[in-house]
Amino acid sequence: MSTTTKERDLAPTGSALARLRTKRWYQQPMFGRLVGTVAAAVLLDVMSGPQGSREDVFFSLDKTLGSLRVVWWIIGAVALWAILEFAKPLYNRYLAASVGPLERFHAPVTGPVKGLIAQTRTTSANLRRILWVRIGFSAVVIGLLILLPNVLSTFWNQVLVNEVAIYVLLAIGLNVVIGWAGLLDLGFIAFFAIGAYSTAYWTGAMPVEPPFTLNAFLVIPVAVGTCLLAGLLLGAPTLRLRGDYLAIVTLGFHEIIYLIAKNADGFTNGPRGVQGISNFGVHIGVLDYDWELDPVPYWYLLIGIATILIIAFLRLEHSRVGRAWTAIREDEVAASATGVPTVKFKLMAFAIGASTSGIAGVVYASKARFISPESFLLLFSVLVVAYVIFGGMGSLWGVIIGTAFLAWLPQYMKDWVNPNDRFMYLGALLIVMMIYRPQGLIPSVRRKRELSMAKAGLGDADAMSEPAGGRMT
Amino acid sequence: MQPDEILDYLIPGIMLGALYAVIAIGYTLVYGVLQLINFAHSEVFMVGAYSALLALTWIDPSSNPTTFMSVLLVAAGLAVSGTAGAATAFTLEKVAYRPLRRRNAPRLAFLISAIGASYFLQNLAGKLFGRDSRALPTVFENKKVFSVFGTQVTILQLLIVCAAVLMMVGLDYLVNRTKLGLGIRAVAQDAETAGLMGVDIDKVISRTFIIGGFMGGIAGFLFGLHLQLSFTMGFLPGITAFAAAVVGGVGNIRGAMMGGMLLGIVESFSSPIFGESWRYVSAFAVLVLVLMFRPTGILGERLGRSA
Amino acid sequence: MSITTTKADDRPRVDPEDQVMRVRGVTLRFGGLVGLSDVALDLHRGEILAVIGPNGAGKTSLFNSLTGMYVPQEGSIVLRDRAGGEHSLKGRKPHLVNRLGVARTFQNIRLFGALTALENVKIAAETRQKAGPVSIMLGLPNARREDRESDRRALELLHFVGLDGLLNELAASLSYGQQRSLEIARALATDPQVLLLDEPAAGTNPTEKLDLEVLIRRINRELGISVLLIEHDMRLVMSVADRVTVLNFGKVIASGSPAEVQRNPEVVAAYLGAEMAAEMVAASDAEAADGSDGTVPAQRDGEEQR
Repeated sequence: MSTTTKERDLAPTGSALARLRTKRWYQQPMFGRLVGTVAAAVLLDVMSGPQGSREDVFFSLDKTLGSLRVVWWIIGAVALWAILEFAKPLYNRYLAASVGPLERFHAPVTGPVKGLIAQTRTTSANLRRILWVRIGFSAVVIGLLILLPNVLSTFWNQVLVNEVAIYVLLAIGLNVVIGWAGLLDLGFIAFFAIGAYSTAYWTGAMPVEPPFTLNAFLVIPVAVGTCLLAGLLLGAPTLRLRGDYLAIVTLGFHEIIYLIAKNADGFTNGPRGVQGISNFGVHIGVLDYDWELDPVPYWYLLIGIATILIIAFLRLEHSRVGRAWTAIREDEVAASATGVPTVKFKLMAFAIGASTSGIAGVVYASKARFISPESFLLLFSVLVVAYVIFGGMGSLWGVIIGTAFLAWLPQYMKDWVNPNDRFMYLGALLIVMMIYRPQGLIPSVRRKRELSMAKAGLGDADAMSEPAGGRMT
Repeated sequence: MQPDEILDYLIPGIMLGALYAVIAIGYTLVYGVLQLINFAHSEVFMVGAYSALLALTWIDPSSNPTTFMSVLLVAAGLAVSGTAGAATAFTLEKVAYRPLRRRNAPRLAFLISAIGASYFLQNLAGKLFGRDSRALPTVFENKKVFSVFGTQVTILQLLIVCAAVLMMVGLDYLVNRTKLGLGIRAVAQDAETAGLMGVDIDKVISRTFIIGGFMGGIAGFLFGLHLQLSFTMGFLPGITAFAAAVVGGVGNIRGAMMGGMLLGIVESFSSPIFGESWRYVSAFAVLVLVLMFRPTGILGERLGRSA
Repeated sequence: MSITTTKADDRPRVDPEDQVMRVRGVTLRFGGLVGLSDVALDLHRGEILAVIGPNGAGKTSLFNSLTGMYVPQEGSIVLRDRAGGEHSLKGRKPHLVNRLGVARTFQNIRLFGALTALENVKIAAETRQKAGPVSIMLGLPNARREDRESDRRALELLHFVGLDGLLNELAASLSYGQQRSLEIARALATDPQVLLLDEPAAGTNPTEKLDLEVLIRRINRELGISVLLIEHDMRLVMSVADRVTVLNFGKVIASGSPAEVQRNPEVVAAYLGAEMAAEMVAASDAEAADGSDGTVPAQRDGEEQR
């Protein structure tokens, strides 16, 4: 804890000192911006160039940096820079003229403080009134979602289920870990794999026979239990230490699960994957229905599961558990001095996330009927992290909308952009989001407040710090 | 495994360990001054390897270089990969981390930015140079130099270990004996106070990245002499090296060297014992064991104390 | 969980035999530096004990050791509950120390700034609740009931410290004095037997100081909570504390009633340096002989002039 606070204080000191040093004309910030713009243009030129070739290492570089293209990019960058630099004074003058002297005096002083005060003041009476509006609104949204497959082609219905809905489910789970508990889990897909392989095992599709076979629906609680256990076993030793170790340990865990799936031939059927996993089906009395090839019934099923999870998680967010998570995120030392068992709550979030991922795994395996280790690459874990952050960690609606958008986009763009480049753009997106909009597309109210307070040097916004007080033994 | 086979695994293990140690130092240095797992360090390693590939392909050596030519090529490879690694790490800090530091962003944001940078660099390389793995041009013929109890030691193994040891000795000198080293230790111990004492924190952090990047880049080139290059080549060595840094005590430079050696040797021995396909699990197994029983690593944490 | 008011003013408040916290031989080292050396301390049930001493004397280190944030290398820290059961606090995790009945505030107020005042107190009131995540997600009646309970408890305490109107204000937007009160309310919400206040009067104005004095007394008398207080403001210490313990360089150098401590030459020396000490003691002895009271030789300003 103490280290992070220190880190925070030092940044302004360093920059203040730097500002005191005298600068030459070429050290003016505007030239720094010029260099930055040109560098960004060259980078964009390289990024948008052709794919590299196997025979010639220089092929792609030749076509981008070694041709006229790059000159055009640079000219464009310089032009853009010039417009921005020289239009800015004009724009500022315009602003100065339109804002009265009094307002100008007040605006910078009260701005952030006023913002803090004004944000959300809801009493419980207000909440109840809003509740009915929300229920009505949600009903309309769910109704529209149910009707959605009717206006889409079969291809897009498949995308809707395989990409959008499954990833939304994953993102809802990961949001608990990243957004609410403030922990970074880079092995989220490992639990997805555990859920999927559990389905394969308990429905009798794996080379190893289970003691008895289960209906795919009944596998859900089993998979939740398995993932919960795996999450606890992995999290318990790690979370007692620093929060940021969790990132690397989950990464390692993911590799281990992947290697087991790939190498434990006799159990998982190795790289060939598992085939013939049974679909969902209900056979109770008069209810007799099987989910088969058509994606639409899966869509309804996923809407159902997601709705249940959303309601459950919203309750959690506004309960003592959600408040404890916020407290830990903000100030772990104070939280633990107030009696909040920090490790327990972090572990709880981690395990809840893991079991949600397991549920998604069950649905995926049962829908696809075929799983192989290649369905559970580490890349997908990073993908979900990117989705959650893009949407706005901690904000359930932001996460859902952001994920749906980013899962849909590559399918939509696949004719213009090479699908292999997807992760390059996602990586860039993550950096840009962290620099310019760390709160995400639709930020959560608490998160936004925390970030603006951290900026002012108060509190924290994650659970990464050392155990309380940095035990000095 | 026969007793007389031990050296057959120990020597490659030492070579691997030397590489891991050099990469681990990059992680530990950055963790020391920023308290950040620099996920993108594995990509610095990859950039080092690819820059050497570009340089050596451009020089276009004959398939059977003379001894003099070999020395020149190795020197060129080391210089180019070190410079490229340092430049990448420097840019990385400037673009992906410094803006966040200005804003007092939470550590979660740093980690996410690091992962973004890692994936960006990785897939940019994949796009530019193709996604198939390739080999460096032949720089020298990998002859046996001498044998130890019947186990042959190759030029490559000797080169890697020598280069790694030289870099580590140099770094140890730099951290413990120079003004910059003093600055690094001061920032690692207490950045706030260091700042008040007139240490230019930005500069120290930036140079720490350059040092780590330089070593990481060279490690990438040396690795490329040994194995094939691919755009994802940084991942496993990177994550193993981070594990090594934690095993030795994160932030502790000598700990990172020791942890790297340890994990290299363990990995080398785990393939005859558990089978080739499980060798990469060994690093995590050691990591989890160490975290459970000695969470501060073998030599304990903190950069300042290693001095 | 209602606030019980004990009418204790007519009988002796403190029984010196009944120690709620017993600290013996606590030594805390940071590498080569000694933070605390062989500190012994008794907190009687129902008393207000002030710990004073110059800056860097180890007062906050002592608090951190008592609440499990630091683990001292030597010594014992024992908490005795009302039934007489003894619990060692040394090396226990902070949240477990809190659960045993030791709550604290911080020198540099540490509230959850992005949460409202009500939520801040609720978090503390909820730490002993039973409802798990499953019953919360299912919205079971026990979870709902506990939520209402913590609401009521938090409202009660906010009223107790005088923050009724500010329930839904963000903690960060409260004034300094209000934040102090909120932090105390949060500490009280965990139902402590012992409350550790770390410089509660720092940075407050004279009116707020008076309110604070009343509040500390009410916590002690009405709620029956033993209070351990670190404070630099001698006027507050002298008027509110039953006993005073003085720390310097990590050692206890004096202990006793406020008046006794005030006349202790070692204490005065610690604050003002040895040369002035003799004069000060002479002066205060003379005043004591006059029967007057309330002189404050060792004030914070004096120390800052050093």
